Amino acid sequence: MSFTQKEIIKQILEWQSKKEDEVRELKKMTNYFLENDRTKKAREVAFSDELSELRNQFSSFFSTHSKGEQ
Amino acid sequence: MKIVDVEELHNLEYDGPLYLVLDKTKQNESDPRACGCASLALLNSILFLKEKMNIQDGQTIYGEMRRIQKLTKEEKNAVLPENMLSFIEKHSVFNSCRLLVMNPNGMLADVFFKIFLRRLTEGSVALVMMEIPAKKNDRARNVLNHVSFVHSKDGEVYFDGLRVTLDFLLRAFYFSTPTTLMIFALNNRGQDEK
Repeated sequence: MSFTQKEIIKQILEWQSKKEDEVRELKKMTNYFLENDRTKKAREVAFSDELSELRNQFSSFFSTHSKGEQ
Repeated sequence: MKIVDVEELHNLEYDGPLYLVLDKTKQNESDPRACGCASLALLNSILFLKEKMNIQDGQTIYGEMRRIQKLTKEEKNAVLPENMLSFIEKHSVFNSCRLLVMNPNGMLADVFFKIFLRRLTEGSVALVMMEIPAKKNDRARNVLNHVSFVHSKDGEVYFDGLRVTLDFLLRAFYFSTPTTLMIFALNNRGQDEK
């Protein structure tokens, strides 16, 4: 399949727009849920040494853990 | 609430076969995700599992959606859990999997994570019956009002087709106590949790 320059630029712009939509939607959805004690405790467990092997099998799923909590 | 037609489904992340629950026409409303959530979660699960198990039964996406809508009695986009479970019981794709039911709130967190994350990496999918707050900062009412489809691909985790983080899933899973995960595990591995 061949693309003209114009089509490629359009594709990139659309892709960028979709990514921004995705991030915006995730932030919005995350803010909908109130954090509670169970959430905090579970997060500590998720970053325990015991689960390090499983954590390494995911690329960005664990990457947003704030540096201050590590 | 309105029926989400197959023609309206858009896939923002893949070439296929996954679809977002998000309905663009309801983006300004309090809960844009509650449109036909059960139907779409079932459809996404079926399509994903078919791809994983290499099932080619000739059924079109449109046909699958119509079948779901008919068998779940989804006249008003209000699929009751018993209708959804009845559909799962009858559908051959779900019958090809092993079913594991979990409630994160009723389990030790490390046990839950071990099972959940390992299942995801092995290609299992999860249907999650959960509560989504109607408004931002609403407290949990412990009433399930949403079904979502969770899966993993290439080291990323997706919730209804939206790539998510651990923080999001933790808040969602532990928001309300009745949250229930139905994990459909592929049978080809033939072994249980280690």
